Amino acid sequence: MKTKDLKDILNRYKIGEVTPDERNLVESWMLFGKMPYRNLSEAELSADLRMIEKTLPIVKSENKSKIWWSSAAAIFLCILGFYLYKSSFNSTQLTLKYANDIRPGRNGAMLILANGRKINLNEVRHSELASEAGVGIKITSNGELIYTVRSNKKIGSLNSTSEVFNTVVVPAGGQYQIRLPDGSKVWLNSNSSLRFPVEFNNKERNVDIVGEGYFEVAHLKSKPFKVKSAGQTIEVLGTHFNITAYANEKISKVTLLEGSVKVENGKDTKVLVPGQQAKSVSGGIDVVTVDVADAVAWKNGYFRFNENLKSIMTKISRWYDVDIVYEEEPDEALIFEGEISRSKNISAVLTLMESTGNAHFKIEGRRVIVRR
Amino acid sequence: MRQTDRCSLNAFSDAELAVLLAEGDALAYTEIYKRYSAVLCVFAYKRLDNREEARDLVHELFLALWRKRTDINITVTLSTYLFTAVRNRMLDLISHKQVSSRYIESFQNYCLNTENYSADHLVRHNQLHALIEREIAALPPKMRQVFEFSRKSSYNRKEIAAELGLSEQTVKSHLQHAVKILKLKLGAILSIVMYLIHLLLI
Repeated sequence: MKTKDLKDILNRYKIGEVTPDERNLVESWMLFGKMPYRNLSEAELSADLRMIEKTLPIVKSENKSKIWWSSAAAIFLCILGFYLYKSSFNSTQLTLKYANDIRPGRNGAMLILANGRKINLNEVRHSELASEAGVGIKITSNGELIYTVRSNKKIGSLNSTSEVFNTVVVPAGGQYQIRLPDGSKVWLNSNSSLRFPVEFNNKERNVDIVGEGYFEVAHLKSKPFKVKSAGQTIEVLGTHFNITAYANEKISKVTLLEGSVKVENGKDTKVLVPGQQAKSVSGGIDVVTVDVADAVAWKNGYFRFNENLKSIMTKISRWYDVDIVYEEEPDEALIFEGEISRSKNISAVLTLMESTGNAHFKIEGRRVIVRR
Repeated sequence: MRQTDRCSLNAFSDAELAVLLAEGDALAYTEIYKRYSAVLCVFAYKRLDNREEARDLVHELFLALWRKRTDINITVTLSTYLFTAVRNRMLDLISHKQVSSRYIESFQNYCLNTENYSADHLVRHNQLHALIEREIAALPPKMRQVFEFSRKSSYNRKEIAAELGLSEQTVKSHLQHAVKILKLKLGAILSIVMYLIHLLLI
């Protein structure tokens, strides 16, 4: 082949006026042609790469030790993974069985105003919802319902005994957070409801709960805070506690994290200190010492199981909004222990329990079938 | 969007990475950068003889790769795509400058040495692949390892698949499944073990 004028070809290449042959030639020269230039040293190359990646959207590992940790973790996982991988061959149906997975619950509730108007709280974000008896109701951007007493409202209405009540209803597969007008915070779990006055005008702050809630009560010495649930009253001054009082459960539980509460059920009265749990049954109240983290794990986004299968499945049915069907009555004495995030699909929770070998499940629509 | 694990991405083949990139996966992009940035830098530097220009060129190439990730249709292999892109950028750069005598000399030699040049598409494609392999082999050892590890991993997967008479995809999903179960089971234990190791080291 004849030599050609590179300058000329490049000039025409620039404006797109080269023949296909010339284009091929100059392009393959750029790739394969021998160049007399020297190589970059390793140090120069590393320095250049560090400069390049500075402004690229690459996923960075924060520091050297982190890289070490993740590679150590990866090796560890891979070695153990291989064993598990080998043993998991017999249980291919595990993945098939859960082909129909169910997503976890999320923030969601219904607000019922005093006049009976219902507001679906899932559909509103960061807005002023309504005003009840001069109290502003709004939703924050992270989905918390807040009641605030308007500053221009007369405090003189204190002696009026008429209170306006609102109710928040959380369905199965939901949870919700409310800040009451006195600044107390309430987290409601699935299948629960809280009825409360939009402003605490009486000598006592009275609220009613059905289901499960975690309370952080604002301290107001002059106004005791009372939580009423089926056949039981909890009186507090300012404290953190969790209450479980579902209509379909015989036992209601109050677990105290901070402060002091008095639990009363008509037959019995007990005062709790932090770390204690009151189990209220029709006969009386039993007080036991518990790991309080178990009781409030739900509020922190976790399931913490330390109970029998039936009790666990009840929690699962509420959060995933599923029905539980038992092929056989489960062993009540068998206790399962474990912890898993509530933000995972149901299959993750069921797989964790199956890994004990003591429970097996099948998902059919929105039903979970429990087998031996 | 497909979920990818940080620890398993380096076991993905180039073709899988290209697919993940088209889905907008930032981890796939990162892995592509890790694999190819060094070799492309060296390659560009050897042809431009200007560190700054080579660096800028590779930088711009990767920026464009991310910006256009969902539009890019990689019909050839990922490595071919990247080297071709660098070549186009280099030609664009030097055609806008005064052509140096070294280039003219190199070009003349190349034209005279006609055996090197073939019009056949497939032959050129294979030549390019051989060139990329040579460039990778010439990298400093640490940088070469990135390629070797990824190839070894995808080779192992192929081997397992062949031995067990399963598809590679099945093996991969089994591995991912196993890792998932392990994460569930070992999450807590692992963090304790890691913490203890950490304590021992400091």
